[in-house]
Amino acid sequence: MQESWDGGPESDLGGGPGPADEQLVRIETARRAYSAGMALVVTVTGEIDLLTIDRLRAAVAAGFEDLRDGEILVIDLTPVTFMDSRGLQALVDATQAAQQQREPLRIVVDHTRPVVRPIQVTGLDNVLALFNTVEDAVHAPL
Amino acid sequence: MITAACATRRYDSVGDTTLQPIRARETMTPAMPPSAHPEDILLPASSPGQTSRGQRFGYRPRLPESHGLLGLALPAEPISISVARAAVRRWLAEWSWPAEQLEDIVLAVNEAVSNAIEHAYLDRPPGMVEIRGAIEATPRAQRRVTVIVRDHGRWRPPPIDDESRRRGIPLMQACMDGVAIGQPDDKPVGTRVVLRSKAVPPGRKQC
Repeated sequence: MQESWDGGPESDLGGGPGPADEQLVRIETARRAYSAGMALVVTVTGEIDLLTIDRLRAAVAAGFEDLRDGEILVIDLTPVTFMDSRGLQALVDATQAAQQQREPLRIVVDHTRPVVRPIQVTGLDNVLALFNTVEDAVHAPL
Repeated sequence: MITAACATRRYDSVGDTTLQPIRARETMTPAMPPSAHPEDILLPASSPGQTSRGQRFGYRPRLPESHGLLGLALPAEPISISVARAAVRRWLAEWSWPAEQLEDIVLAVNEAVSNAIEHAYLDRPPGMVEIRGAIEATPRAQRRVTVIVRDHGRWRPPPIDDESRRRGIPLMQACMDGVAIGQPDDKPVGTRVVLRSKAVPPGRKQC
């Protein structure tokens, strides 16, 4: 069983910047069942920068709100084609918020260089919980 | 030492204007104010025949890319950042820049442009962000780029408390060989970021 919805401008918190940001990034949230349990997966496709960062933050915040007991929140960045320091900050903020709520936040990056490069050169690979696939993220022990 | 021998050899005159020769004054080191002047490459000397458009942007728009130069002026709006990224990517791909270093340059330019758009014009009407780039030969017969991002808003000293910019500047420094943030020399308005890339092997413009 699977639910999914699109993090489009209607679901944004506050007014969105307009159609340009929709062309730059698409964010979809889906609830998926795995053998290890349920996961809420936020999949980000496209570019994360100053224009689109608010939508990413809103989608992650909505994910936290909609998370059910025992579910794992996963952010899948494998389809991201560009990410900058604002994306890094959003990931750090989300990780810290998850730790305070004791709900693990897992980030999937595989070998996507646009995402891996800024994470590695700023040393955040020691701070963020990174996985190669959504399956790995869901099946990793808490 | 900033040199731009390639650009000056080819760019002796642009219509009515003449470029001054390079006067590189100082080696760029990270976090020092810019006193080298790669802008000398890109700004024509003022002359009676200069058009007001030429004076505003500093060069004729159509020629520069064929001579390893990049120039654009964008309104300080968030959508402009993706326009700048695409322009830098296109420019460097055309000059056969190695893919990984190309993406590092795009990332660094993105940071500088984003900071300008987010912070420069908060206390005044929105203005423009200017991006100028040049491909230069290095002393060891390699090449590198220098990209200058400039706005005309308020001067932004290096951030201490601003989280978003605090992460962006180390990212720029990791991607570049040198980053210099300072006030422009010609007038004390706005912020100028000078990005010097790592050196890469020589290459040709693709036909």
